Amino acid sequence: MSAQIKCPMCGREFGRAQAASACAGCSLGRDCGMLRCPNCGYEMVGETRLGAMLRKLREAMSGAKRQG
Amino acid sequence: MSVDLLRRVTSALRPRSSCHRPRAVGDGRAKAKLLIVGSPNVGKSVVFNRLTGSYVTVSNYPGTTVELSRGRGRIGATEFEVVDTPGMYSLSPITAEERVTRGMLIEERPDIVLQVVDAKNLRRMLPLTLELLEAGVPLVLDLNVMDEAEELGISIDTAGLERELGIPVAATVSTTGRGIGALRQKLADYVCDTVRDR
Amino acid sequence: MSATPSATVEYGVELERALASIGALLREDYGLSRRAVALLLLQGDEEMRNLVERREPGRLPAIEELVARVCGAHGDPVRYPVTLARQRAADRILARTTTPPTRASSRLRRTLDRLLMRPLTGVPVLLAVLYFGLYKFVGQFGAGVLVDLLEGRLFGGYVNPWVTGAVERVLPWRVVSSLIVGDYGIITLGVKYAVAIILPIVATFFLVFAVIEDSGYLPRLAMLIDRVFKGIGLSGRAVIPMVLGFGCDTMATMVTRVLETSRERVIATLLLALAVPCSAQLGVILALLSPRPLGLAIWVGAVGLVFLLVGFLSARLMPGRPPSFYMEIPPLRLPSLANVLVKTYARVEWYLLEVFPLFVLASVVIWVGQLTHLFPFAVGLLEPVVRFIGLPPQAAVAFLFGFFRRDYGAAGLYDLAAGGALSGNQMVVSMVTMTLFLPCVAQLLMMYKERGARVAFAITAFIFPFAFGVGYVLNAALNFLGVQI
Repeated sequence: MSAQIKCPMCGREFGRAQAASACAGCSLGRDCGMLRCPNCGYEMVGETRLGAMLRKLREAMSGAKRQG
Repeated sequence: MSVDLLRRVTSALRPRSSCHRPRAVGDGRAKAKLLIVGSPNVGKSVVFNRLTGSYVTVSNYPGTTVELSRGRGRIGATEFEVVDTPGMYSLSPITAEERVTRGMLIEERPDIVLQVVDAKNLRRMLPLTLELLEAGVPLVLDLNVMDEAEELGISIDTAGLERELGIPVAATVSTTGRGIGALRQKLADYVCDTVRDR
Repeated sequence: MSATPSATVEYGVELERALASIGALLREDYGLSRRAVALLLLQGDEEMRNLVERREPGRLPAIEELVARVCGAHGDPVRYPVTLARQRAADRILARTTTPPTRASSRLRRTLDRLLMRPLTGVPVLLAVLYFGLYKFVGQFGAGVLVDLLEGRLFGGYVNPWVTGAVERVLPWRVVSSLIVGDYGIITLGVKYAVAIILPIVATFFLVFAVIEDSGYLPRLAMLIDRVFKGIGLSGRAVIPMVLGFGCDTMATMVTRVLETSRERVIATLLLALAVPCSAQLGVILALLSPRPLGLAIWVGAVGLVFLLVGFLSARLMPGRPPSFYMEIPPLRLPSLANVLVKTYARVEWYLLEVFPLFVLASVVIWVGQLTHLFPFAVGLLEPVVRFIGLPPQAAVAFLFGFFRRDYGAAGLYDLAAGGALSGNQMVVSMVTMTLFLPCVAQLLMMYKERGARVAFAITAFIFPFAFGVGYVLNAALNFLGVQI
C-alpha cells in the first residue's frame, strides 16, 4: 500500500491517486508537480526520491527496534 | 479486566435461551456479517484482528485499488464474517476509500455495523455515529483507545451514551485486549435481539 | 429500529420539509433510510443521484426540482448547516455523558488555539512570525547576506568573468557567444538569477514555511484570516488554503469553480489575478524589498490595501450571502527537524526544476528577439509606460521579464537597483506595480478557460491600466510627500 499523505492544512489523509483526481481540469494537468488535498485544496509538494528513501530507512529502524 | 471475567462467567452460567444456539441468521446464511467502520488511525484493524480467527484474506474491492480485509470469527454462538473497511469520515464520500466503504454499507447488508472511534476524540467522531443511526444502520459503538482518554482525564458514561444513542456502546483498549470480551458479548447479544425483533 | 430523540438530528424547518418531501417521493430501497438518501441528494451527491436515476427514473425530475429549489434558496451549500446541526447534536449528547479533559496539557493546547485564532491576539502573533521568519531570516539573511555572497562574490567575482572569458575564446563570434555570456546570456543572466538570487531566497523561504507548516499553525492561520475576510464580506473557504499553500495561481483560478456562488467565483478570480503572487514569487519580492524596510512596509500596505479594496468593492457590487467556513483543526506540535528538512528540500527542488528551464528559455527568446530586432521593439513599447510611473527606461526590460514570471522580473529589478540604476522609491513603485501586474501566461489561459473569454478579457483589460495607475499614484505620492526610501 502506498504511503498515505496527510494534509497539513485540514488533516485529511489521502493517497496520490486522489490528489491527481483533485487536479482535474487544471490547464497545467498533472505537470506542475504539486499534490492537492481533495478536501481543502491545499497544495503541497510530494515526496522526493531522497525523502522516500529516508522515510523507509527510518521505518525500518523503528520497526527493528520494536521487534527487538 | 476482572469485570470482563465476571461477565463472562455469569453469561456462561445464564440459562441457555434458544438464541444462544447456533442458528441461521437472516436469509438462511450460516453466518452473520459484521462490518467495521470508522476514521483511520483509531485501531480498527486491531479490533478486526481481535474479532477474527483464521481465514483472513486481503483483497481489492472489485473495480478499485482499495484493499479490504475479510475474516471469520466466532462471537458468542454465532459465526461471523467480519469485514474491515477503509477509513470513513462521513456518508458523503470524498476519497475513493470512503466511496468504497459507503458502497459496502449499502450492498453488503451487514447484520451489525461496528463503529470504532477514538475515545479521546469523541467529539469529532460522534457526528458520524448520528449520521449512521439516521441512515438506519444496525450500529454498535466501540470507544477504543480508552486508556489515552483516561490519561487525559476524560471520563465517559458509557451506559449514559447507550441510553442517549439507543445502541450498545463498548469501551476497549484494543492493543491490550481490555474490554474486548464485553464487546464480543454486546455483539452477540445484539444479533439475538435483532432476531427477536424481526 | 428507530433512533432515540436525542440521537435524532433536526436540520431546521426548511430542510426538514424538503427531506420529508423528497423522502415521500422515494420508493425503492437504497440500503439506507429514505431520510439519509434525501440528505445525500440535497448535498449534491452524484453517486446517489445516479443510483436514483437507475432505480426510479420517473421520480428523478421531481426530486431534482426539489433539490434545486432548496439549494437555490439557501445561500450556503446544504452541506454546511447539515454538518453544523450534527455537530451540535453530538455536543449536546457529549455534554450529558462526558466530562472534558482535565489534564493541563490539553488545557494549554486550547488556550494556545484561542490565542492564535482570535484576531486580537492572533494578528500580533502572525506579525511576529512574519517579522522573524520572513523579514529577518528570508529578507535580511537570505536576500541580504546570501544573495550578496552568491551574486556579488561568486558570480560577479568568479563565475561570470571566467565563463565569459572561456566562451569568448571558444566562440569568437559575438552573435553566438552572446547567447551564453552576453547581457542576457544563459549563464551570465539565466543561471545567475536562478542560483544567486532565486535559490537562496527560495531556500530560506521554504525553510521557514516548512517549520510553520509542520507545527500545525496553518489551519489556525486560515481561520484567523477567514475572520478578517468576513469583515469584508468574503468567505475564505476556497481561496485561503490555496493561497497559504503558495501553490500555483493557475490551479487556484480553476478551483474557484467550486465556489458556490458565481459572485464568489468572479471575485476570487479577480483577486487572484490582481494581487496574489504565486508560490515563492511572493517570497522573492518580499525578500528583495527587505533591505529597505520602509519600502517593504509600503509594498505590503499598497498591495494589501488594493486587495481589500477590490474585494470589498466587488463584494458590494455583487450582492449575496458569504458562506460559512468550517474546518477541522489538527493538533499543534513541535516541528520535527527531519520533516522540515525533507519538506524544504522537496519544495526547493520543485521550484528550481520549474524555474531553471524557464530562465534558460528566456535567454534564448531574448537572444532571438535581439537578432530579429523584436526585443528592442517590445522594450520600446513598454518604455513610455514605465516612464509614466517614474522609472528609468531600463526598467522596461524587467517588466517584460515580469510578464512571464514575476520572480524573474523581480530579480531583474533587483539587478538594476544593485547597479544603482534604480532608486529606493523606484524600486518600491516597480515592485508594487509588478505584483499587481498581469498574471503569468499560464494563469491567463486558465482564466480564459474557466471564466470565459469575456470575463478574462475584462479582468485583463482592467488590471493593466489599474496596475500602472496605482504605480503612478504611488510614485506621485512619494514624491509629493518628499519620501526617500
